[in-house]
Amino acid sequence: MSQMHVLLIDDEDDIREVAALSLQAIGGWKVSTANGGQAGIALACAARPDVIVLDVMMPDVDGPTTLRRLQADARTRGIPVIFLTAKAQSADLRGFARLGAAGTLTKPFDPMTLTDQITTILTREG
Amino acid sequence: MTQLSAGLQTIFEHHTEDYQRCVATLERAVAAIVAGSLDDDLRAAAQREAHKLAGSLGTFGLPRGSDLARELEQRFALPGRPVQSDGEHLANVVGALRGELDAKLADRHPCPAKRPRRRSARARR
Repeated sequence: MSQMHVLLIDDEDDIREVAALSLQAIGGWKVSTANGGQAGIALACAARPDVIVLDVMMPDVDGPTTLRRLQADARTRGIPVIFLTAKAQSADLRGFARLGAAGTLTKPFDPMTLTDQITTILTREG
Repeated sequence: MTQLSAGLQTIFEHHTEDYQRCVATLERAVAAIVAGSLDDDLRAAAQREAHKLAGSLGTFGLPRGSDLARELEQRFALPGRPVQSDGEHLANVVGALRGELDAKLADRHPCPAKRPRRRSARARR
């Protein structure tokens, strides 16, 4: 099985650093990062990751807009997108699912279990 | 696990000034609430910084810090709030948040008095 490749899109440096460390150290996954929606879309088109972990609230292009643009592009529409958000109320979660997200991870997350959480979502997605 | 723990500590230390700045903004905002002088810019900045702390602190083993920051974020997000009468409660919340961060930083920099003493030359003989 080839190495899993994750693209993390989040404007917060510390969150990107912790998530990348966690996925590399525990999962042995390849991790690419982008600090905003625009940069993330460009990287997704170029690198075609296996999964995208996407922050919801970002100043340039927010998570939902980024997801819609990824879905509109033939190169990226098949890549599962998992939202990463501090907004985890049930209405928010339902809204993210309606947008077509594969799942939602909540901040703060546990670096020890992040890999497992992503794997569980992707397995459920089939 | 050791590699991950060490890496998390390094990342936390690298961003400590950011977290301190966020708490300082929240302290300024609460002081402005108490004084009845909170403006929209400071309220928005406080909401933004509280959101950042809510998402980050728990990741570094400070779940209570995230909970306190989330309460502040929600208070600053309410239309027309917070008002002057909220000041005392919010001052307590921000004080507790500051305490959580300071305790974590104290772990990072143990008090010199608690460090193991070097054995004296006489004791080594």
